[in-house]
Amino acid sequence: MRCSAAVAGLLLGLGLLSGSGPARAQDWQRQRSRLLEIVRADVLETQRQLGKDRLADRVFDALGRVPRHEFVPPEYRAYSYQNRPLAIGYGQTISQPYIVAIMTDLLEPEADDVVLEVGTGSGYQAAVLAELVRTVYTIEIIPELGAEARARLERLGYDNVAPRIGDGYYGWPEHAPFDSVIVTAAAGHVPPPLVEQLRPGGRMVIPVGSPFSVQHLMVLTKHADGSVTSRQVLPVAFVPLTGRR
Amino acid sequence: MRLRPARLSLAVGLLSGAALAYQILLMRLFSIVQWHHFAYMVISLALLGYGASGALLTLFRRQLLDRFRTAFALFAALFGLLGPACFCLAQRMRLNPLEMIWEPRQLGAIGAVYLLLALPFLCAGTAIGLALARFERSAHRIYRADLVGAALGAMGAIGALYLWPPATGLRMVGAAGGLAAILGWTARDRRRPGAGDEAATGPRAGRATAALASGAVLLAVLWPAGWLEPRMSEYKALSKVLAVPGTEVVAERSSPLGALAVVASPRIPFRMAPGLSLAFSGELPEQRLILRDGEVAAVVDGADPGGAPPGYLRYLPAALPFELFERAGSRSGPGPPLPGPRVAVLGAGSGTGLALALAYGAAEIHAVEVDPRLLELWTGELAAFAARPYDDPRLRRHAIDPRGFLGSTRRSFDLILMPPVGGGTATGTADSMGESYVHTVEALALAIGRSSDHGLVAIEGEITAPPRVSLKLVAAAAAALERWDLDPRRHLAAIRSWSRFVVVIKRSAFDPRDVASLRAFCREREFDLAYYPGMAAAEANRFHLLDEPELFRGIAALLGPSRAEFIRGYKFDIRPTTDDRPYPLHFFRWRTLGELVRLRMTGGAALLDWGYLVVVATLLQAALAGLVLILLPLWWLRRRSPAAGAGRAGLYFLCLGLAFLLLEIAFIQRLTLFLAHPLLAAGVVLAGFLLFAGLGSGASRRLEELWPRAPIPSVAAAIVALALAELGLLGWLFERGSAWPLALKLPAALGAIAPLAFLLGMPFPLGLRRLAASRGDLVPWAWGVNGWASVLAAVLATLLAVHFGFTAVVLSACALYLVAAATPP
Repeated sequence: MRCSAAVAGLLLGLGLLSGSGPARAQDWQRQRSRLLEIVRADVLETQRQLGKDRLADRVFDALGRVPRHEFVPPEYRAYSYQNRPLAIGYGQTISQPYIVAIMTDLLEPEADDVVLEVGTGSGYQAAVLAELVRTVYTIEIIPELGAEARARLERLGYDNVAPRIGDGYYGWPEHAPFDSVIVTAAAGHVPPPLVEQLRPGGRMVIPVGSPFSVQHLMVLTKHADGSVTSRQVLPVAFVPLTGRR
Repeated sequence: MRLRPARLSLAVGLLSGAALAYQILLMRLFSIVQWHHFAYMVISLALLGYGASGALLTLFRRQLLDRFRTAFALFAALFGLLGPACFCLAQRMRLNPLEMIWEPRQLGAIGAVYLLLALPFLCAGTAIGLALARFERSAHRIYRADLVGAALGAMGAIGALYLWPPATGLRMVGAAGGLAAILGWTARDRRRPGAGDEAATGPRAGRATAALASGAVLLAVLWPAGWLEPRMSEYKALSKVLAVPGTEVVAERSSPLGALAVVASPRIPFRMAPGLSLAFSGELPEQRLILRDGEVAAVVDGADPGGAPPGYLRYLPAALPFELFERAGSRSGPGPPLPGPRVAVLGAGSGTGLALALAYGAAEIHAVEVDPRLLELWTGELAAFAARPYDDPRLRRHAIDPRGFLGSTRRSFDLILMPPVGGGTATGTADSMGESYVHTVEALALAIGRSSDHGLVAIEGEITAPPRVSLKLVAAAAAALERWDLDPRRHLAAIRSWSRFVVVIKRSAFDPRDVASLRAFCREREFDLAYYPGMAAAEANRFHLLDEPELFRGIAALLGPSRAEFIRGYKFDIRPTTDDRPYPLHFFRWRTLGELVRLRMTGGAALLDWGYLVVVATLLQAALAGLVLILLPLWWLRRRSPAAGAGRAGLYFLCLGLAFLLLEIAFIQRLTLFLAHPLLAAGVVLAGFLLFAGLGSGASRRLEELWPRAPIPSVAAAIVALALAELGLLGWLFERGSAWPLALKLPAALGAIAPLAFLLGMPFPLGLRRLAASRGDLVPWAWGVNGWASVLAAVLATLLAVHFGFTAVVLSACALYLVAAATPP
């Protein structure tokens, strides 16, 4: 008798801890709003390097809608709305929200855009982009990660994301040209086919660094004549470099 | 009970050798599992187990001495059992140092790993310290066995790593612990029985100890192979590559220089082309990768069926020196084509330099690679895949350290390709505390001296934002040019792609035609000019745009009259790398720490110099742990009796522990550079150092008899005089003997260190015997202080060398010996 009462109490306690659906959702929403404030403050602090003191409101709206906790492994769910990268297995991470915000903003996404992402990972970046553009094509090389991301994106209703498992080097020529390309997988060099599939005037963003600390972001712009220039964006407000400047 | 000292010395030697071998094996294993600098921290702190053994012995001295034979055998057997076991458990701690800045729980994981790995050292240290306490009047013999055993253990571990994977070495260490226990247990002199051990422990305890010792030997053979295999971090390149479908390891080699793995990916090709021009639109050839300790060490291009060199090579920034040479040749007017360049490729095993030399039709190629296992792969399993480049008649192999090659060759070259700074990758895990003697002012000056009249020396590296690697290199290049009385502003040029930079140094000044070639190459390949004589800032930012042309401005400032001021004012340490401070990837400055920590969430983490901070953290942790290990036993002793003389004894053994290691590390570093075969040199010099010190320890008793009045100050004074003299002697040796064959260099190196090492072995046993005469209960404590100081010294040596150079390390050691001489116990 005492035993069954204890079990019932435990279950009740667990139920209270996990919270009812709407209450929990409100909690996630609160955490997400707090995270956005932190990201806004970080952007402000690094404004000189980013060349702007705020990111597009649309980008923040998108980040505020995507449930990051759904893209995080269960053991890290409690950290979902901390401004930090999190391990997702296979040596990959879900990027830090501050970096995701900057990368998304650098793409200057428009509602009618078609975007290619190389390196789906957890699917979080694709989901953020899906909130902003018409279609996101995303390719993941590791089958297990790709399958998990596909199932997750389907479950969350992101039907404007088209995931595929395969080699992202050659892009997705059937759907080219793309308005922008985001390469979140480590790149020894910029794959020429991806440059080719970029629409003139389009942009490509590549983060450079280790999985837990992005060193800089490279933004490639393809000009009307087909030529390409790149720009380095440093997320850290580390200036001036010398005492004299 | 009487013991047979010879057998006990053998047991001590075996145990000491096994413990040193265990340390080397752990370093190797953790370099595979994690990254080198984290391995360094983990192992350094685990060595505090030695310091802890002093505390243990102090607290339980009487009980352990009463049961000496059992206790010695027990701790030796436990070392044998725990050595492999603790490594197995430490691997299961889910340690990910990369995550430390974000995840405080990682600190707990690191702490658990320290404790686990400290246990075997605690056991070995306790057994050896116990032997010293038991035979305090003949401590010189035990200490000699300890040092000589350690010398043989160092050689044995390095030899074993050439023959077997590190996991096999762990089994041997386990077995050696068990054997040492058996030797210790059977050290009783049956001809002269006496009261003691059995009376205190009883036959049952004796049988249990014997069983444990035998068990350690047996278990060493029976450990399941999978438990001892290193499990690599999922964030290392090899783990990531193997997650891609279809990739497989097709060949492996293991040596003390690293575990090499050749990986093929037939389904999804590798496409490694560092810094490749955005103007390249062709296909890359099929490639295989060679990874060392899980990170990319070499790229091997598959052979083209038609024999054509891969087209992408001409679109790499690294092609610049070849293009300058080729374009200069094509300007020479009508007539037969000029012969290709004579090229020296330093670090040829990494593949790209050699591929470029072959692609550009070099007339003569000198491929310099220090790792024989890497060459074995190129000429073995990869030979057919890569069209046998090492069979090319133009190619000569040199299995020697690149710096040694520059020092010993008498040839001159049109092009000298130095190894890339920081290797081929810089993913935030590069070892900023890694020593390199090929990017120092001295090495670059040697390379300039080996280049032909119009020859070029080229070095490439990873672009960092803000620039640091490139600027530090340029500062060294400028200093090297000035050694030849050449104006750096006229003899240096640099370019950058989006991810790589290349610096070229020319023996003759860059003329307008060279500049025209440089500009044409950059224009065609869409690379940016970073510097050439007479360049305007407006040219610096065309294809890969930066907010400010920082690299150009930095190079211009470094080559101009305000160099010193610019270096002083820069936020990173970009002082030129020298042989005395050989750290080309060290940029940390304390004044930026606060700013970087504050900005760590917004990209600042990538700029933190992790390798350096890890060393500082190691020092702090070791110092704190030492306070517990030293003060706790002292407090215990004071409770029982006034600890008169403890402060003096503590200072003496602290100074000895620090100074011995500082000198040992400084001289090993110097001689390693001289011998030019880093691992063989480190092994031979380390073993020689310990061996001669062991002999010195053995001779210390005799010295005391001959010179009873003041042996310690005399020995300390002799050490200081000899250490200072050898600083000069080694400089002379480098200048005169760099071209000597190894067969001559080795005895010269050993001859140089023998007298110093011999003397270094004396102060410890001399002090210990004095202490035993006055305060025998302090002997184990002194052993602990000495052990702790040795750990501190290893870390301190690195920090001193980074900031002040190895000369300062030697001078600090001399000062410490003088302090010790003034405070004998």
